[in-house]
Amino acid sequence: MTSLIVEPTDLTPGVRFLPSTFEFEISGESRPENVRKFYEPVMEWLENYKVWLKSNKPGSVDKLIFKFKFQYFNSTSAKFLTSIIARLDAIRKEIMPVEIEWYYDTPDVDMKNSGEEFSKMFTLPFRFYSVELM
Amino acid sequence: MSKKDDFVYDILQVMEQNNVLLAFTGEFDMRVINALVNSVRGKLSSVESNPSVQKKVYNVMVECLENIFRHSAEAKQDEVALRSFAIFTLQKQGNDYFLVTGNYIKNGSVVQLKNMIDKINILDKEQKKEMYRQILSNGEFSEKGGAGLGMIDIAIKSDSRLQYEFNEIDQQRTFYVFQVRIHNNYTYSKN
Amino acid sequence: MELKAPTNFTFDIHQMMREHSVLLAFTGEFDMKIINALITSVKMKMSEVEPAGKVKKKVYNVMVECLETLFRNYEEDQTVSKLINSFSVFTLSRYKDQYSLLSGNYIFNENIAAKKAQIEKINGLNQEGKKKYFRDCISAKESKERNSELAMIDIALKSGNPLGYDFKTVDSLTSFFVFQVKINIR
Repeated sequence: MTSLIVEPTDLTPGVRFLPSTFEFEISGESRPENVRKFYEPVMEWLENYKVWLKSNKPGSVDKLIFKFKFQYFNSTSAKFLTSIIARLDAIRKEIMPVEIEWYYDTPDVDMKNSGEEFSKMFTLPFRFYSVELM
Repeated sequence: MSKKDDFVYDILQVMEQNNVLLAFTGEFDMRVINALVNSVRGKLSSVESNPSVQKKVYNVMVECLENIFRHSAEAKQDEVALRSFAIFTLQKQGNDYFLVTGNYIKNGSVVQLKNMIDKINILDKEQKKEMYRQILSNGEFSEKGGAGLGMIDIAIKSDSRLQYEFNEIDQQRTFYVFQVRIHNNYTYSKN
Repeated sequence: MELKAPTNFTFDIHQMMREHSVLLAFTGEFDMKIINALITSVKMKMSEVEPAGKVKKKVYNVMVECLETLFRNYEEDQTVSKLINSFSVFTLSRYKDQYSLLSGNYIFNENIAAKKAQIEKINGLNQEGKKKYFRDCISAKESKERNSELAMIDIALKSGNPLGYDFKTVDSLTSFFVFQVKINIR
């Protein structure tokens, strides 16, 4: 299963999905000019990963941890994040435990709230981490 | 919403009455300038069919905005508490484009700036080019040298008198308005 | 002929901006590049005038949504008809106790009722109601109406104040829609 690495820009977040080391992270700012175009490959990768996991269940880890470290995401991005988290939830229900680590700058109450809202929409566990200016 | 908050509608009306295509007020740095310039490039190609004029407006705009930036950088170095607020407007009136910048400068800078513009305005095209070459070969790339070069470059491209207005705000600062006119009389032949 | 008018009017604009404590403003046709210019500018400005990270982020977040909505509004109406004037306005002001973001754009008169209803609906919800509405909007199937609803509820949640609005009749076909968001500083 190949990795997905997307370099961050002023408008789009960085994505690092490394299945070989079980590192999964999306971070930075999300207000792409074409939100669908940016997130569709990410969602497609997750679909493929789910299929791959079915026949390649990892022995070295007992759960997958996905880290979200956003400075900002616009409302259109929020829709796609919902779809991404939904896919993670599906992996959790069908294959193996998945958890989300939600990071936010300490003063960024809105980002914390956004994470809390997502956690209410799905059953997979969320852990919250406040960081002194990421 | 209170009455005073409706002022955006007043702004809109003033802009429309004055045929303003675009106006921006706030902080200018290189990224802001780049973004504005990129946007205008796109707009110009839809409102102006003559590519020579498009290019001129575009080039002069870059110089004008960089001048704003230079002025505020200079002021910051001198620790004069200038409001870094600046204005840029692009207007179209008939066959003319007007690019206008407004920004704060120190009162002490007024005379030198006025003299420089006055000096440039009395030169003919050849003399302006000569002055441009002189500044270039002096190799003075100080902030002030940069501003002189930018100004003469604008004058050459515009081929019209540069206009200015100095509005003294208080004992330290003046609001300096600078206007460039670009006239669309350039022939353009489609080959 | 030497036109003095443009230079005079620039100083008048400057006075108007000072009077309304405007930090940042744009008038013209919005596109993604202009939006980026404004956002870049506000990032710089916010770092300078707003030490409190929380308010700085709120202003930035709300501003992005407002600008993107402005752009989307114009696009939506354009697909229906080329008759609508694309000229829009955005201002960010800082008063002693709050930030005020104002946006203005032309709107077809026939769309006024729906827009007004949407804002009043959101203003009528309490905090929990707003959060629920937000969740409904994010999970709903994507559509143009849903995108604007989502942006608006997102703005309302972050602002913490009622959304302000006004419609100025321009002619039989169009009006000018002014939209205001306030963010408390303390």
